Amino acid sequence: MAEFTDHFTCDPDADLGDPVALAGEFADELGTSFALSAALLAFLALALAGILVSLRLVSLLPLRAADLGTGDTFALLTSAVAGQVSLVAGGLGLLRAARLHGRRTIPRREATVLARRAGIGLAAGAVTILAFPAMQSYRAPADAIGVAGHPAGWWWPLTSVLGAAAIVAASPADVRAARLRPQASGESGDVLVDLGPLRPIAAQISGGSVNRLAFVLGAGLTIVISLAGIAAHDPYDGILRGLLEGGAFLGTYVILGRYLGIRH
Amino acid sequence: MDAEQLKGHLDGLVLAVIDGEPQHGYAVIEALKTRSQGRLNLPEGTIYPALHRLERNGLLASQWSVTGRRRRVYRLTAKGERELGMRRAGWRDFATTVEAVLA
Repeated sequence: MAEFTDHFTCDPDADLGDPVALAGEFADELGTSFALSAALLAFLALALAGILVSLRLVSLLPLRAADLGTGDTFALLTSAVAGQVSLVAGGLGLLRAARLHGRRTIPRREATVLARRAGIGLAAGAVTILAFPAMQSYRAPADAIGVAGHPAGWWWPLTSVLGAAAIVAASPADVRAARLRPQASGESGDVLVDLGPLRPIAAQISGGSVNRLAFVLGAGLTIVISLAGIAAHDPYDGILRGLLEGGAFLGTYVILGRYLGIRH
Repeated sequence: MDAEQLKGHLDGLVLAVIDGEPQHGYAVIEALKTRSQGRLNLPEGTIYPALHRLERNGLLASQWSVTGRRRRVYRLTAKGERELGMRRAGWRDFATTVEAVLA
C-alpha cells in the first residue's frame, strides 16, 4: 500500500490495471502462501507429536502381549496405523511444499492437495495421541520404563498435552488454507513428482505406475517385517505382523491415495 | 510493442535498469520507457509484481528510504547480478542467431 501511495504521488494518473484482476492475483498469492505454510506447520507439529509418541512407545517396551487387554491392543493398533498415516501424509505434504516453494501462485489443485495432506496428517496425529489415554496401561504399569530414574507415568499426560497442543496450534493454518485457495488452473502431480531426485529410481521400479509402486512398497514392507520376525525366532508373529502392515499400507493407499494426490 | 513478445524477457529488462543504481518502482517504469525510446510503456500492474517476484527469488533486495517520502528502493543482489549477466549473454547469443537467419 505504501509503495503504491508513493507511486500515485509520482504519477496521479497511474493505471494499476483491472481491479478485479488485481484482487484475483492477490487472492491467488495469498492462497498459495496459506497452502504452503499449512503443510509446513502441519509437518512441524506432527514431528513434535511423533517424538513424544515415540518416547511413550519406548516406555511400553517391557509390556508383553499377555499384559494387554482388548482395549489396550485396539488402542495400540489404532495409534500404530494412525501414526503411520500422519507420518506419510505430513511427510508428503512437506515434500510437495518444498517443491512448490518460491512460486508466486500455484494451481488450485496443488493447493487442495497441500491442504488435504496437512488436514489428514493432523487428524491422524490427533487420533494417535488420543489413543493412548484410552489404554488401561496408561495408568503406569509397574514394569514400564521410567525416565531419568523417575517411574513412568508422571510424564505421560504431559506428552499427550504437548502433542495435542502442537496439533491444535497447527490446525488453524490448515483451515485457513482450505478456505482460501488459488483459482489458477493447472494440474497437480502424483507422488512420483513429489519424490524429486528419487523419481528415476521409483520410475524404474514401478515402470511409471504409482499403483505398481504402491504394491511393490507394500510387498516389501511385508517381507522386511516377516524377515525381522524370523530373525527374532518368532516367524509366525513376524509373518502375521508383516501381512497386517502390508495390508494396512495398501488399504490406506486405496482409501486415501486419490484424496491425498498420491495417485490420479 | 506487443506485450506477448516481452514474456520471458521482462525480468531481464527490470534487472538491467536497476543494475548500477537502485531504483523505486516508478523510476523503473520511467527508465524502461526512456531507454527504449518510448517503445516500452509497461503498466504498473506488470512491473510491481515482477519486482516483488524478483525479490522473492533473491535477485533483488529492497529497503525503505529513511529520508523524505516513504519509498521502497530496489537494488540488485549478487545473485541478481549473476542472473543479469547470464541473461545478457543469452540474449546476445539469441539475437545473433536470429539475425543470421533473418538477414
